[in-house]
Amino acid sequence: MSKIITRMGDGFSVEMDEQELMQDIEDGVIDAAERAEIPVLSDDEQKHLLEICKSTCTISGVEKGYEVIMTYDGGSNKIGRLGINTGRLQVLQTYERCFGADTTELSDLDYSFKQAKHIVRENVPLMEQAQLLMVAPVFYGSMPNLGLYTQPDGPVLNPAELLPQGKIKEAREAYAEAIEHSVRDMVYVSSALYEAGADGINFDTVGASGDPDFKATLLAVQELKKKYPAMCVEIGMAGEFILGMHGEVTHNDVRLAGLYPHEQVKVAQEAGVDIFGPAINTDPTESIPWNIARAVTFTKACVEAAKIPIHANLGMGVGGLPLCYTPPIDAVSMASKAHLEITRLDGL
Amino acid sequence: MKIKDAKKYVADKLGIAVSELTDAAVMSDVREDLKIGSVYSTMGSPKGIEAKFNIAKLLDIEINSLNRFKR
Repeated sequence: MSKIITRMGDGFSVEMDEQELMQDIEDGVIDAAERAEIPVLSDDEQKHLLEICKSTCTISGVEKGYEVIMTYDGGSNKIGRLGINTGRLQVLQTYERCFGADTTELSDLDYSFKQAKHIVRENVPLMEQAQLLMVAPVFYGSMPNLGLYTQPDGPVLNPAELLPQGKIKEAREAYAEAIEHSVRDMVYVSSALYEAGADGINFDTVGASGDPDFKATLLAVQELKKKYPAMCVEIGMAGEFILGMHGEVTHNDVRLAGLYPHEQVKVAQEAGVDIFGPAINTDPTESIPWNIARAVTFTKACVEAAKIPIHANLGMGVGGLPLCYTPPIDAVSMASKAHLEITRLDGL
Repeated sequence: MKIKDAKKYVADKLGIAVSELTDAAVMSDVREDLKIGSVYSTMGSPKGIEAKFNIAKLLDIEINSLNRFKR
């Protein structure tokens, strides 16, 4: 049987025959289905995935009609990372006019609401200017990043130090206090940028500090939607599973720890979120077909559970893409095609 | 609005087929005719917020920055 060149989750090439590739797809699907207790992909969907993953093309593309909307996280930081010295307004224009971006995002290098609070007066006039220049929607984006509220970076006792000492009650109290600080900062910064004309706010990498991080974001979204009912709110998750750093945090009687994407989206849309971004982790020790199959299975269940648009996170190390700085375009486009054609999501 | 409904809404407002939304040849003319902004920054063509005003009117939608601009 002829060999197919594909990749591992760390980005490096590997040769497999068709039977091995199909086995990886089946295993990836089952891994997701068992973890989240969701349906497996149908036989036809798995065969379609096999055809996508067998591609020898440098770039894969979707059939006409499957095109979706692109949203971005940390958008105006990424050109600077390439060593290209330019201002953020020029970056936004580059996204709109050179990259064909459907939406753009103004953001700060220190991509956390706590840090953004101190420089909000710098960002407000920039957002106002951006809105004069741009045709595509301009979001403001940042992360809840609850960890920044704990000592030594913030005012709250550090749960990571309290928990090993067996001080569980104190750790939970510290999380509760951090949530209060975080909600206040998120509402303050988001309000200022929305008042400056932002088309939406993107809460990115939500849940990075576990269930209290997700809780803080949900509370901030609720408060913002009460204040500005027309505000478009997107949240992108940090990972596929809400870590139980606190363990007993609930939202509307739903325990947040342990939620998978198809459950996360229900809580998010109830809080008022308009666009939800599931983030499925890549396992670098497994093949890309295994990782794509797994990500697509999780995301399909999420799309089916959602009433709001789903924009899956497909970037380095999430969404079936390799965990490396420059994910190869064959893997990026293959994972994108698989998500669009099988999950029928709304955006990436 | 989910993507399928959103595409149909926009296509209907522009008076084109859904499949033409991603057809660069068709959309260049549509953009020029309806004055909703184009990739090439040609002389006299609406840019930035001016194009956005035309989009809001055409699609019958509210845009936050335009509402604040009008105030």
